[in-house]
Amino acid sequence: MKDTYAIEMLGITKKFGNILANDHIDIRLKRGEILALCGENGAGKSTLMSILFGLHEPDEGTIKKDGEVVKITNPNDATRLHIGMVHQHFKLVDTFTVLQNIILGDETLKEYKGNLNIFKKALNYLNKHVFKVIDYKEARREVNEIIKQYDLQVDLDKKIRDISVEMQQKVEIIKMLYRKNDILIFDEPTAVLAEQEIHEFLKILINLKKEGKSIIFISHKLNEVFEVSDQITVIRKGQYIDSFPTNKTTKEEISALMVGRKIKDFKTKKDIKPGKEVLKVEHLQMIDHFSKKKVVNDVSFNVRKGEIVALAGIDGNGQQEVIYGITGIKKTHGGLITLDGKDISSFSVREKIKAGISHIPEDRHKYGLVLDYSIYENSVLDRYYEKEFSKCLFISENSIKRFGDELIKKYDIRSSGDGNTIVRGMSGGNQQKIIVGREIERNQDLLIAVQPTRGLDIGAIEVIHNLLLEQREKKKAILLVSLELDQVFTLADRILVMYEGEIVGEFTPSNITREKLGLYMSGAKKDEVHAIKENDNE
Amino acid sequence: MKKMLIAFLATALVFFTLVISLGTLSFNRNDEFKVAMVTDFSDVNDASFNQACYEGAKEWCNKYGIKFNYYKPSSISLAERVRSLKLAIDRGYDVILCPGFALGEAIAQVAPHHPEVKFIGLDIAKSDFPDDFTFTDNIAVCNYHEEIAGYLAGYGAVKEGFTRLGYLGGMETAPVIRFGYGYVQGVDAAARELKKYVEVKYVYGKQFFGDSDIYARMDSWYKSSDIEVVFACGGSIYTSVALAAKENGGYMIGVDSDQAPIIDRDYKEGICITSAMKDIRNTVINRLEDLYVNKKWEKGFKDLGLISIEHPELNYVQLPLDTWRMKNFTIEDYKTLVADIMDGKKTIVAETDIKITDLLSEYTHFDKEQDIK
Amino acid sequence: MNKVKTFFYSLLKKESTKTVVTSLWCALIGLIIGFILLVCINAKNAPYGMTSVLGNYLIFTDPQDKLHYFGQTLAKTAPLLAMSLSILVSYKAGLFNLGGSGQYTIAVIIISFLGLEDSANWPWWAVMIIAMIGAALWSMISGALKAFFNVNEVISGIMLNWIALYIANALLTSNSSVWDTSHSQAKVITSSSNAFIPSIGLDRLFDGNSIVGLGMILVLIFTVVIFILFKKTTIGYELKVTGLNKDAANYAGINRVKSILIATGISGALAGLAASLNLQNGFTSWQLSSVPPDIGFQGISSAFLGGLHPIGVIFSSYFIVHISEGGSMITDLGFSPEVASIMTSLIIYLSGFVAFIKEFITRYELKRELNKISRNKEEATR
Repeated sequence: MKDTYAIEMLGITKKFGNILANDHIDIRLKRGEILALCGENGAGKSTLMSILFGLHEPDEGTIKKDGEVVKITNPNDATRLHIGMVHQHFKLVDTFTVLQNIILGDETLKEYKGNLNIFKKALNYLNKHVFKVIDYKEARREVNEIIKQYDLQVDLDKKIRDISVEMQQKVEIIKMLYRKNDILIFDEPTAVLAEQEIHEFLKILINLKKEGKSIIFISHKLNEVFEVSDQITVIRKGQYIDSFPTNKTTKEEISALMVGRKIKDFKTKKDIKPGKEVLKVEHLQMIDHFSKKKVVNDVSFNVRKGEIVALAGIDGNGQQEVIYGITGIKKTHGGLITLDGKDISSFSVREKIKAGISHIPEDRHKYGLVLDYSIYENSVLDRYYEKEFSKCLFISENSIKRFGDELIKKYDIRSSGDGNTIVRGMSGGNQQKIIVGREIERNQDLLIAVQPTRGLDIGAIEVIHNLLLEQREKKKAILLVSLELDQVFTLADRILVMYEGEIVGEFTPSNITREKLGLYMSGAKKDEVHAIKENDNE
Repeated sequence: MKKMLIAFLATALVFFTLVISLGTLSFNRNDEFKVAMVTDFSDVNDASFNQACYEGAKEWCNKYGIKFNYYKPSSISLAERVRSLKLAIDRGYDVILCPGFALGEAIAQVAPHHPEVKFIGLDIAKSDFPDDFTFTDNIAVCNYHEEIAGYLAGYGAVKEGFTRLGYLGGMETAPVIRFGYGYVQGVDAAARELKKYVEVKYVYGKQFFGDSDIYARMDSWYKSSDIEVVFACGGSIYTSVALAAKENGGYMIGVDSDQAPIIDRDYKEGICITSAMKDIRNTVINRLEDLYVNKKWEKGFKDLGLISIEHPELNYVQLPLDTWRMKNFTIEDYKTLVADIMDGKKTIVAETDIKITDLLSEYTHFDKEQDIK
Repeated sequence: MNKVKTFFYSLLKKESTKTVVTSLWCALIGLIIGFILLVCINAKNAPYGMTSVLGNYLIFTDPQDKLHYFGQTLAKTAPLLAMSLSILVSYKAGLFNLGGSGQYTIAVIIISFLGLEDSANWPWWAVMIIAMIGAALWSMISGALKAFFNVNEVISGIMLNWIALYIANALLTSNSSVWDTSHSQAKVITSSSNAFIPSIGLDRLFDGNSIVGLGMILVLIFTVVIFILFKKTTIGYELKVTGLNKDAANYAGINRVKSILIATGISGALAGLAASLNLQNGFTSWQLSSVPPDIGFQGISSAFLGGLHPIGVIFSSYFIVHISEGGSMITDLGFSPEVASIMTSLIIYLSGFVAFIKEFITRYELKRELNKISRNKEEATR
């Protein structure tokens, strides 16, 4: 029994458009083991797991459960086979309670017991064939049992939107256990967690393993991987590289396999004395349109020439809103924004762009690009109206072309064709290069970069880091929002930590450790920030 | 992509060749005598004017095994009517029946260029043709003395005992007005003879089909105004009247053809007491018979009315004898009335541009209501 | 020779070629299904019926008639083309203009009053421009609702259709200089009227068909203008960004309200142009109706069949008018007028399935590509 694998995926191939996401990948998972699936962003890990969960159908390959070939064409098949998955972005209904979310789709039902005699016959029929009601009492009992067994404390009656990300993850886990899943898939579960929460989470994983669950765990954070996994499978660029028992390999070996080469050092940061203040934000307030919650609360900071200021924090603590507020994409509800000494608080987006803000948005598909436009057209997305590119309402195609070609050359933007290539089919790194190039070429004093390397491979990250540092050397003011501590520590001159819409600490990379920063990010520590700020301004 | 394009070209080629070769093979224009009909506003199943024409033509053509077809213009527009006529000519039809005033202008555009084709217009006044049009020999138009038909119905209804009457016209065209004015005159004549006071409500529905607005007005007539019988004068506008009559226990008078059977079937037995008929069916049959068998062609305008006292069923305007339902006003009374009109003992004013109230006596209370639409 | 071949192949690879082939397939499938319908109803006459549908004016034997009705088909294409452009403009800007019928109706009201009132002796171009402005303003109502209150433009468009319909029924019937009581429809603008679009001698080219005229050329000019608008101008660039990705538009500082109002305005004006081209050549006039005019919906099919491209819709509008005209001429072959219109609308709506068939083709290609890859791999391993 021990010898058969709980799950085998053999020769899995999946293609999206021109991109081969998975190319004959094999993975094997034994019962009661934790398999870590390692690879860079975009290596095809999520795709592979989505195939196992039935979200995508593989173009080729077979899946075996307990040694038998199974066909999984949709998530219902997966559920039937007791395969469960926690996605990177949780699939929870915000306005439902925890309990409702857990039983959603797999409700415990009971017959409706009314005492309306007149309708007895009809009711009987309906009871048998049509409507049954949810048996919350029974469901609650079952869920409580699970909570006790696995030690997963959650408040069943709170609504999802009112509980923390960590709690939401627990809800997702209970959801799987409630469905009696024995294959559990976690897609980058720690990406959204702070350092302390990660430890908690890993403990849960080990607990689950002890109870006999088989777990596939996607991560590119090797510390965690080596802490909990039994087996490691490495995937690179959609291809299967190798598998090892965890105790027979090293972090160095795995990381080299993941990247496919030795990681080059980033450009070293030169010492630059910050110059004049470019951006000044004072007492910025923002309220979320839907939840009416204060998402940015009295945020004040400044960015000077020749420095990179990083807004660090766990996703969703108001960093993005601050940027939306500065760039005008969302309305602010109080506070003052000054650019080069000019009050721009009430400017429209266009006016702010003209006033001198370059902005690399966090979501290149949502904000940064029009995916169905060509490289050329995207290269002037926020400047097509400038004199250089248009003459009295008419777009000058030639100058756009010239500019686009320059951009392609300078930033090494690669595509299957020339500048007329539609951006949609291009890789994330090259898409991002279009945006970064476009924004840098605007040559403004202030450059805002929000997660500029999200979802990119090491090579592209390197390029973009170097570009940002180059801008710093050119005495530009750079405001960086990043969720990755590595990035923050390599790039930033100053680090501002945001927690629940407030700035809770300001540091330089040299005067704080990662662990301490983690504590600030998770809200466990809080400083009086103003004091530091005054010191800084001197 | 290449394959898709080639597959398309191949499929298209096969399809078009197949269809077009089969199509041209299957159709041949031969020289046999053929009859076509072009409609104006409504379709041939309007239970009235167009249907009468269609049925008459169909019956006659079947008798001689002659090919008959009808054309309905694809939209209400002169250009489309012209095209329907041209299409019929192109397909080799020799006689084209054109019921309805709207076809006047279309005939004027087409007929002069096709002298070999005969056009029989029905119910088209001279004024429906362009003012400067010179009529060619291949046009014959039949109009009716609708005022006589209306008079017969109105007279009969009052003699039968009704004192509260209504008139619902369709579009305000000359024949509809003639029906209406004749009806009112007939009512007045009978009231005067009986020395009975009567009331006539008079309205136009502005269309040749019934709908909820018209039904609502009729319903209020029967219900609140105590109207006993309504003359529904205009194509299939009768549907609203019949429904209201059925709901309220009232009666109605049909128009154009004998509408009693169809109303009996669709609404309620006996609510249609009579119909002010103009015999389009027989007109069509007689004209075709003349042309095809007797080789006789009467060009120009012809007004059709009463021709026989002895056989009232031969008259072009009449009340139907087959479904005679009135008891106080008998067939004998009816025959006397027809004789009186033919002898000139009773005169009926046919003009439409008069003030109708000038013709009425004090026995008739005439109430013209605002148009429904 | 080789050069020609490579050029041809590169043409085949293009996205636009795919759209064209897809549209052709749609039209063909529509025709085949229409033919099957005819066969089911009357097998004997079906081939000739289909020939009539496909041939339209060609089935007339008299060459003059052929010319006459070729002209008529062209003249009837013009309003549909204008309406397709209307749908296209709003669609490019991310809006779905289901209110085309209402905008058309408003323009009809304006044209009827300005063109038929004896006292108002307006020249044709003034009538046309005012009608277009009126329709544009009407369309901008739903644009404004969308821009300021985020009301779905489909819903407001449909509601405005009905409102316009009742306004037209009420206003036009109550005015005696506009309404022709004896025909129960609005008066037709005659060629002697000032409001009649001049035929500039084109009518003589088509056997004196008076509905052929300058309008046909005007609509082609508008098509080119729309083409240039989207290809070459900053407004077109903005509209397209708004349509393709409204967040990116926001990011780039494009004023969403302005974009929506411009798009709905242009699209309304084009719907107004459709009315002008249908009425100001004396072809038709307003008739009492209980449903909005269907040209607004035909425009949608035509716009999609034309691949949502200004040049493409020239052909798709012609195709749709061509088969509708042909379809109206099969009533004497044992097909009732209803069957004829069912068949033509079947073809038209199947033609609207462009997106669906494109998807099908893409999948087919993908599969082939994959097979190729795996085959290559097999060979490599061998």
